[in-house]
Amino acid sequence: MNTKSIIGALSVLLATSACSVQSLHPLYSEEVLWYDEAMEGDWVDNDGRLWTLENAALLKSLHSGTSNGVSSRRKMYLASYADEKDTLYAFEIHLLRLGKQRFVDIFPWEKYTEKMINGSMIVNLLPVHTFAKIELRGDSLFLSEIDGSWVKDLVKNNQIRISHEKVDLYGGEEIILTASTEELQKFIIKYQNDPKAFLEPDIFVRRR
Amino acid sequence: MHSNNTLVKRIGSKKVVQHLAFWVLSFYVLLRIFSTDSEIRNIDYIYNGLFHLTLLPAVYFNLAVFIPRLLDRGRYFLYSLAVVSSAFLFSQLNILFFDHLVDFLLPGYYFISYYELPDIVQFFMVYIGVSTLLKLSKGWFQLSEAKTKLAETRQEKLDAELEALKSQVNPHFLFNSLNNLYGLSLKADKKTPASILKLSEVLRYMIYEAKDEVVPLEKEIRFIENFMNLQRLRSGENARISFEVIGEPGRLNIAPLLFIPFVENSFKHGIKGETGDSYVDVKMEVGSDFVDFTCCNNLGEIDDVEQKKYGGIGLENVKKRLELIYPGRYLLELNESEMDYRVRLKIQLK
Repeated sequence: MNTKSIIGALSVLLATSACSVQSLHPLYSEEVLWYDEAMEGDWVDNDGRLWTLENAALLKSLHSGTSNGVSSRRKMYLASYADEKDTLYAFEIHLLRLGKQRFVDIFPWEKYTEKMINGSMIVNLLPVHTFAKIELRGDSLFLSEIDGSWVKDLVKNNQIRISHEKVDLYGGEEIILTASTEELQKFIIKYQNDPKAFLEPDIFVRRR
Repeated sequence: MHSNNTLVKRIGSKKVVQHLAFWVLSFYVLLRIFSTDSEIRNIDYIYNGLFHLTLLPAVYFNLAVFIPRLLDRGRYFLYSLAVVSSAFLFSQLNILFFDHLVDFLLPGYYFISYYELPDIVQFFMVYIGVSTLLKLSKGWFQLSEAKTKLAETRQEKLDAELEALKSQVNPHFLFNSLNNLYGLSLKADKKTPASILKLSEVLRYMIYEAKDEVVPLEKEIRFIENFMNLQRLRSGENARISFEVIGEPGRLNIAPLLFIPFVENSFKHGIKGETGDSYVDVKMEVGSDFVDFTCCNNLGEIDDVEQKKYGGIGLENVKKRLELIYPGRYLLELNESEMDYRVRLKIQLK
């Protein structure tokens, strides 16, 4: 991977994580995992990038097991995107149901992360989870990420009690949640209908 | 130091202060438990305060209802059942509070119920249990204090009674002795000055030394001897007066003036001035931990002017004092025949 493509990969990461909540622990656990085959396929995002969403279990190259110790790979998607130079950016996607809503847990694909860490530039990439509310309507996927700046303000103003750490990241102070999966789920269940909690949705349109 | 103790007692006796102290301590402990990270944030104080809001009704319900109505009445099974049930119920309320009610109470703040039901039940069980133990220990302290006060009151009463009984000995003896001296002086007897000196010695013992709770047995014996010598002065030539001590008093101590009323009475009853074949035999056998006193005198007519009025006071006083000072440790035998009157008083001194 050359320097240019690394910067490109980083920009994708930043785009997907800087504005959303980052968590050390995943949002999913075995009992809330869900899988919907209808989500498999090719999707085009707002910026015209083509993403492929496929069942991770079908990929022979994927490591066994997942980052949360959840044994079943059947309920995991792999979201990948290749740029014009065929550089691959991939994320582990877990679909889950909390309350009446569906959510996704987004995590850098393990192999991809390793590749990044082995690179000459990026040695401090944090393998963190980000969360988003997801809704499939016809041929459109609506992905509403939790507003990272909203959580950051709540923490700063002492309005939310959740385990976290403040770290210097992306040239500024960022909040990384350290709350347990159980605690994260409780927060999501309780405040999933709070309009302030989620960003405007990114819309992915299915490519026929 | 005394004023400090008084201050502590005053503070300790204030119910509000006690409860406040308990909750302040509780707040501190739970704050440490609840702090999400090494740093305690303002939000932790707020959460801790809210958590305490849910603890308060559980604790005070226990104190106000369960303890007085169940535990204090010995309904232990029902009480245990009530405690477990209330812990469960109030834990559910705690969850309800943090899941829903807190949003109305503090809009703009984001809390969840961070603990699972079994954990919260444990919290509530601990608080209800601790409050019960504190209540019981407070009751025990109050009971203990009441017992101590009762014991002190009884002791004070006992001391006062003993003092009163002892003080009754003095005028009783004094009146009899003065009567004797009065009799001698009427006859212009030469023994009068010596009698006055003996009386002085005896009174010195009674006034100064017999004020203590116990006196050396040796001094008591010497006192009886002096007393008998005093009485001997007024007795007739034919009167047989003997005083015998068997054994060594050593370091034995005894409550003062227990024997003297018997000796005194023996002279009043047995020695009637200068007439008749009268006698008084006093014997004291001293063992390693006891004294066995016997006093025997002949019976004669009562001729003391004060006897009819005050004669019984001395004996009754001795009986009361024996019962108070040596309960179950003395033997008092009073035997009266046609010819003589015999007293035996054996006291276990240790």
